Amino acid sequence: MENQEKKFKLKRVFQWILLILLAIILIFAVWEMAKDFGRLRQFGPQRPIRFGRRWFPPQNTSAAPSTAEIRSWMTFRYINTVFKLPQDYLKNSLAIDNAHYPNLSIDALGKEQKKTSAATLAGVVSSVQKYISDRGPASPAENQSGFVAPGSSQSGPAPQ
Amino acid sequence: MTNILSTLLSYVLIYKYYSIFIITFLGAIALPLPSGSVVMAAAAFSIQGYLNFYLVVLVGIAGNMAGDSAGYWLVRLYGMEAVSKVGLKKFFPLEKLHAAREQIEKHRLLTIYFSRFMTAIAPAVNIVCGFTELPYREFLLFEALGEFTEVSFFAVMGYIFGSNWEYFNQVSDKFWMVVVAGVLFSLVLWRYILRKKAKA
Repeated sequence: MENQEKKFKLKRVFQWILLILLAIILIFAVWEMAKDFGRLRQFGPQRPIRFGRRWFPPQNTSAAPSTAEIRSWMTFRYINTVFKLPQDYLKNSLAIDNAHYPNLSIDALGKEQKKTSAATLAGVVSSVQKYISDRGPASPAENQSGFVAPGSSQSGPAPQ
Repeated sequence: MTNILSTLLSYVLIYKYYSIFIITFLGAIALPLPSGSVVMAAAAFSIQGYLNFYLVVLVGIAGNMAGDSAGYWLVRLYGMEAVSKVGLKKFFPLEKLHAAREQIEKHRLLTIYFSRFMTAIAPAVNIVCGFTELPYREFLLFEALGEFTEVSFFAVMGYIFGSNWEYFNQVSDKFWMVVVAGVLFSLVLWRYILRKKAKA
């Protein structure tokens, strides 16, 4: 009988601990979701939307693409398309020897050149920035890509 | 962003529509792949003209439907032996399949349609439908409606948010965390209250 009472008390304690843990996880998840939602509102949609404008005011869709949006999983073909770079510009500036170029991701290049992802990404970003600054500002028609302008308050840090 | 998603996105940029089809197909069969996020990202790529938005939606729907049908027919033609050969038998014990059959027969449209939005449940529903020999036309109609809604939703979100699709993805992930934590919390609380009432 005593053993059964002890077991019952342990079960109750365990249930309370579980409830408290779940409540903490729920509060944490709601808090994180609210922060992400706030960020989403801040950076906003890049296409005008008819509904929900109060929650998501449309951003400037004709701004130039931003190098802050380059990620290490992106391929060189994609980066060339977005930033309108000549096909072999990055190949020459970064001394890329791989036959798969431009169907090669920044991560894959980093592994081949035995560099960290961050270092390879920084190299790519700086090459693209150099090309953009040498070329000069593009016309509004060329900028119709939906990216946030470099250096604007709308370009944010890479999401985790 | 997870390593899996980063790797998949690299494949999408290299192999384009072929990779979207394969990823959505494998995700629909049973592999835990973030196919919704992939479709959203692919739609965001279409803003730069790298992909075609309508083709992304079409291929996403086709991949999902092919995966759903493959799961359905695998069990319908070869029975639960096919499921056990791929190592999934312990997730689908017979008594639970019979119980699920009743649920599906009561609410066919709702169960099949809404399960398309829950990537963990959809493959199980496909297997149950195949096991219980639900008419294929009915299954196809309801799952096509569900896949059309799900894929279109992710694609439109990707298109609207463009390069900020990653922020929307984070909100979506956290939303599911809130839902799961909320459901678990409610279940445990409800059990505790019921026990207290029973004791009183």
